[in-house]
Amino acid sequence: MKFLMAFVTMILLLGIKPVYAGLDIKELRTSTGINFWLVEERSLPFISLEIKFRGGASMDEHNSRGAINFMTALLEEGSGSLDAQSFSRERDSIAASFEFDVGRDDLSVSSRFLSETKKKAITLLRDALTKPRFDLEAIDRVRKQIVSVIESNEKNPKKIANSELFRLTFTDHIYSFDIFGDKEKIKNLSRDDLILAHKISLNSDRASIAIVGDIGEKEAIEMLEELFRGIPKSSKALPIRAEAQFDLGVKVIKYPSPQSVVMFTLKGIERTDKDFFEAYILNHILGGGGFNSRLMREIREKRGLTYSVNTSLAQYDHSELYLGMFQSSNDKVASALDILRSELSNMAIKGVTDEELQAAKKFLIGAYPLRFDGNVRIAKILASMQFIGLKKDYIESRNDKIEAIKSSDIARVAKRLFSSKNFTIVIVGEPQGL
Amino acid sequence: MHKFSTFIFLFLLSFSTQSEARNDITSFFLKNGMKVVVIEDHRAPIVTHMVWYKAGAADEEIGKSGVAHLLEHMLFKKTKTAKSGEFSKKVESLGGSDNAFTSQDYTGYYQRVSNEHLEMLMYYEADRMQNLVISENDFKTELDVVIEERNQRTDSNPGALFNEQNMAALYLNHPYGIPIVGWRHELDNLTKGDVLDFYKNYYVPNNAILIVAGDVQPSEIQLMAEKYYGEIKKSNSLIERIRPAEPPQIVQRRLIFEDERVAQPYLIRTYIADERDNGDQKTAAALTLLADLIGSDGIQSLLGKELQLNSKKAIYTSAYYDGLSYDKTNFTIIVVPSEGYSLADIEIELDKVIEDIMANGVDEDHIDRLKFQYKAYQTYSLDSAYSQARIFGVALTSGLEVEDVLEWSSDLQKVDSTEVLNVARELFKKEKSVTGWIRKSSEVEK
Repeated sequence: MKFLMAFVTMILLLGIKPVYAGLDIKELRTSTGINFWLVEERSLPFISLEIKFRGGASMDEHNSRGAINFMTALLEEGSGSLDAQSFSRERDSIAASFEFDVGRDDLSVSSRFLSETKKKAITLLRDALTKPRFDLEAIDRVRKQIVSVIESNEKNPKKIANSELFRLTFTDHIYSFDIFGDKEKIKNLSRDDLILAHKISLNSDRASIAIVGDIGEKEAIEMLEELFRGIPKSSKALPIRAEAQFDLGVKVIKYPSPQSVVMFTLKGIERTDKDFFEAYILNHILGGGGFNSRLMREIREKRGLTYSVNTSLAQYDHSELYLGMFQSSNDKVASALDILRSELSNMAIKGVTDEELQAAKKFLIGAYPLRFDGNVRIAKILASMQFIGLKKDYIESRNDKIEAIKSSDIARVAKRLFSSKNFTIVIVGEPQGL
Repeated sequence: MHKFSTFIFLFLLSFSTQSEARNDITSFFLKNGMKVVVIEDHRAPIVTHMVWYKAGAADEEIGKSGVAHLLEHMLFKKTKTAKSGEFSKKVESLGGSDNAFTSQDYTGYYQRVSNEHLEMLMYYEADRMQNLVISENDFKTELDVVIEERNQRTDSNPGALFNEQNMAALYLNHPYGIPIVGWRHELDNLTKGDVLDFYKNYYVPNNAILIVAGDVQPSEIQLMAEKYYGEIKKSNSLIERIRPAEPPQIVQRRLIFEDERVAQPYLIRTYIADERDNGDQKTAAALTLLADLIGSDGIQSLLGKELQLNSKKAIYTSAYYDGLSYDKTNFTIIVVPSEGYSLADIEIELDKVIEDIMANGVDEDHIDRLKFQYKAYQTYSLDSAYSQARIFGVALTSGLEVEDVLEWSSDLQKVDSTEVLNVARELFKKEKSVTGWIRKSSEVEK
């Protein structure tokens, strides 16, 4: 691969040209009060359903960290009258797929099923969501798998760097801990802990839902009424805002490897901040834009010091970061860091050129419609939009906002974002000459 | 191996639409022998444009490992008329994306843009097929980048390091035993001349395949492709693709890999296996279902059911087989033992499951369920024009034809339990396998 996008954080939803005359989004509501978006797309005989439940791993209690993730891993391990094996046999026999994933702020359910078997698919999915059995056999089997994942992560330099960065940044907040929890706590979690985790993380009033595919309004409404029958309203408050610490300097964790992993963070910016779009464009120019970003050009293209370097604005429900990462040989990491620092301060002092600003605008405006390709992708985007509080008409007004951004504002926001001299840096490896 | 017969179709300019079930696929040849496949998907005004070369790491000269991949990197530099990075910048200015990939059997380049920009892509892609210029400085920096890539993806990862040794042990003579990214000591000695030689030999239209997928019409693609690619001179000295073959494998091999970065011990068993061939995908179809039956289907699979669900001796099991390969491919099984079981214990358990299949056969109902899933997958896969384009690219550079790709689904539907059992008996021969133990150190294992 020419380059590798190693660093995936939350997808930011920016503008779209009204290229998608065909994308007709309907905002609907069931008789039971469940709101959702629907795109009827009849050309392929299947349906894509995406649900994001707000909360995710942030709903974990300190003394039962990892319970939400553990519980989620058990949703497909038996429900209602079906044990783990019967459940997976039933699911496979109709070729449906259900994916459950826990993020820092959400528990997402991505499912895909054929039109001809949609009734059975919804029954199975409903049982998985509302009647998980939490059989002791499954609990113990999955517990061992999770412990094994945690042990692997403890030996993975990227995961080590990521965990340490979050631990340093968020001190006591639940964000400072890994989604998987820690080994000792996982070993001690009981069935009751998992039942509680289930109750607090799958709530009908915290669901963002999108359906795309071979289904009409009436059927979609009936489908969701059936699916959400038995999903309770929320009973536990969401966590409070996280106080983040920045400018903590360089922390090195020794790790035997020819290469060092470098992760860093600066202060981020809220999605609702008036400077958000300026920051988004700045990030694209600095390190978010893949192969043609400044950092790629200076660190990789000109000097061959890394294979990939990237930065991203990371938005969470209760905080926000400006994250970056690269990997360099142990003897080159100091030079790469020097360039990183000078590029950041350059950006703060001089901002960006008009040419760079125009190129970034062109990319962001042109790239957005290209994302709306395929039922599965569209369903994910529409659920995410609702999750971060965007209205559907946002899709059409968005590009104008990007187009309107002025270089004077860019310069001001560059100062705001990049003036800090001592951002927090975590290095995992055996770096030389720092 | 089926010999790829490009020249027969040299003057066949009329469309040859394939298979009545798929009227969205059209393929034809340009007058210089370049193959074109068009995949229509009119749901959104987007197009994916790909050029694949039937040349990968396994086509490199002995001692020059890494050349194919390094060349892939160099294609993003200059040509006689375009500046370094110009093509990528152009794509970016349209909001598009681009990248490339190198495997043992192919090198592929792709871009994804809004469909009105397709012609520009063809202009630049055709340009770099003929006019690459490598400056001394670009060569040096890019070689450093590739070494960093190797550091990042291989040398920092014990699993990847083992995999490299595993392939070297599995293939006694065939170049699939040499890593795609290149051995480090050979990478260090590569020259600009090595890269240019590979380029001149293989980057020619009669060794390339154009795939266009998305909101396009085959007739417009043919006109456009003739204009940009059709004018490129074909090569008369294209080297026939015959790699050193494997001798009979008569000794089972065992590898023990110890690395302090290994979190927990695991076992990998790899067997040499038949690949999909033009007009003959029956064995590969049965092997595909065998992998699912044994290990790619979670606790439904035999290993999952026996070792994870019943005896609890393993925490994770998996089997993997991919029939898309020009020469002999491999079939891989992974088992991670539970605490309290050694790699020796788990190897005995794995062998028991395999022997049980040979003795008692496989469950026809399970095969039927898997077949239904593959049928559904056909429908699901139409959701992504990019993935479809990629499947055609890999297949057509692995010795297959468009017809083979279209027939694969029905080949899978024809498999029955007798065939699965037959391929299992042929496959599971220890002398054609490598068994790897990966662990932290001998002391740690209980």
